[in-house]
Amino acid sequence: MSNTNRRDLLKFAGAATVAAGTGALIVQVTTAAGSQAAVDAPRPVEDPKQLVETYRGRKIEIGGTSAAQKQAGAHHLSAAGGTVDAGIRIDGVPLHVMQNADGTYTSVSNHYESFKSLRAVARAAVDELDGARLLPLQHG
Amino acid sequence: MGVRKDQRNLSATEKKAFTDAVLQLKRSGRYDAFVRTHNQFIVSDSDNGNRVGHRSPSFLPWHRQFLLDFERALQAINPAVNLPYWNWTVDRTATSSIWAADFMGGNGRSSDGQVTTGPFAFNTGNWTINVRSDTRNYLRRSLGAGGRSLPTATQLQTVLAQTVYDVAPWNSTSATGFRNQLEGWRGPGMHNSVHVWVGGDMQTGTSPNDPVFWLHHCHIDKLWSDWQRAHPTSGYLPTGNTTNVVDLNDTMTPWGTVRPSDMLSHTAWYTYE
Repeated sequence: MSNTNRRDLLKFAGAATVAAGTGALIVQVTTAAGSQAAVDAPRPVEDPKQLVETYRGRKIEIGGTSAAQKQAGAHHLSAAGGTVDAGIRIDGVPLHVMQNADGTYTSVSNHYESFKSLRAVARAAVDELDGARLLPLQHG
Repeated sequence: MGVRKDQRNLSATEKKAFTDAVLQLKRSGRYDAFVRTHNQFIVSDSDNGNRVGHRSPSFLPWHRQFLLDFERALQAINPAVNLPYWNWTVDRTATSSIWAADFMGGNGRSSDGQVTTGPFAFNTGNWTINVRSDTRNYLRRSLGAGGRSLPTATQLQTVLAQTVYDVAPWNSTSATGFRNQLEGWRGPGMHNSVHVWVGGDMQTGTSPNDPVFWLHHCHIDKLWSDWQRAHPTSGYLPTGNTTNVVDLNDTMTPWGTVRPSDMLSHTAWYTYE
């Protein structure tokens, strides 16, 4: 999967120091406190629960309290090891995400893999979508 | 009684009978019902909640019944058809005959992952992906993308050497035990990594949209049988009173009547060649 056209715009809503990355990517992270960290991160130090970024031209949103997210979250439990109300949306459409008992995440787009952070599972879904749009969650 | 064969040993006639029956099932609409059922279970099976089809001890008996239902649906179309299995420890490249145009069709094209050869290519007009989580309505694959490899025979031996069927907490984090090592959340990857190796539809919750799903799971089913033969005193676990988990004599959804204890032997229905 090519990341050569990837452009990251990160906006963190929280003030927590956040350092997360996927694979061997070097990600420049600017925190709300103004410090900067270069992270070659096999594991997230702390997983952002709220994040908006553009990744490969797609808008990833994690967390937030939009009506759409609340509606999506109505189906989602937040206990570890269950379907999680991560509020992940890709270009505004909710991504079905499940938290595994070891704290990792799995999504409907990558259902046979585990990812160490919400951001990693969201980015993997963008990679898998390869430009396609998610359809709204189907239930029942 | 049916005989399930290694797909590499199928004749051209047997391959065509299989793919023709699959296409007819698709035309009837019944194929998509299998995809829908699988997706419903995979998104609701959770590590600390109710779990039946995946990440749980009943992964193997659930899929055995699921495959039986599918095989019987094919046999209602052509009684000569049996599920073949794909031994990915042997046929492990994108040029293996399983991916030829006379059977599963080939890899997806680089631009969008679309499979363009074989009976399930979108451009045949016979294989539209209806049950899906994104806008793409064509079958996709990315065989071995990212330099991934299929599980090896050596890795499989370590899994078959497990002496216990499953262990607490009976989910994706069970550190040992045959079931979770074979499902692939722990250990060398196995079942899960084959889904990822094929890529495209196979790595999503609607993985049965790719007919190779059935050949992959038929191999998983055979490996359960192989493991039982190697460990004749190791039975299905757990046997009772386990929250959120299908015990030996509990019934499994969606059937409501089928218990793991009903599925421990397949010899009443089919054998493996």
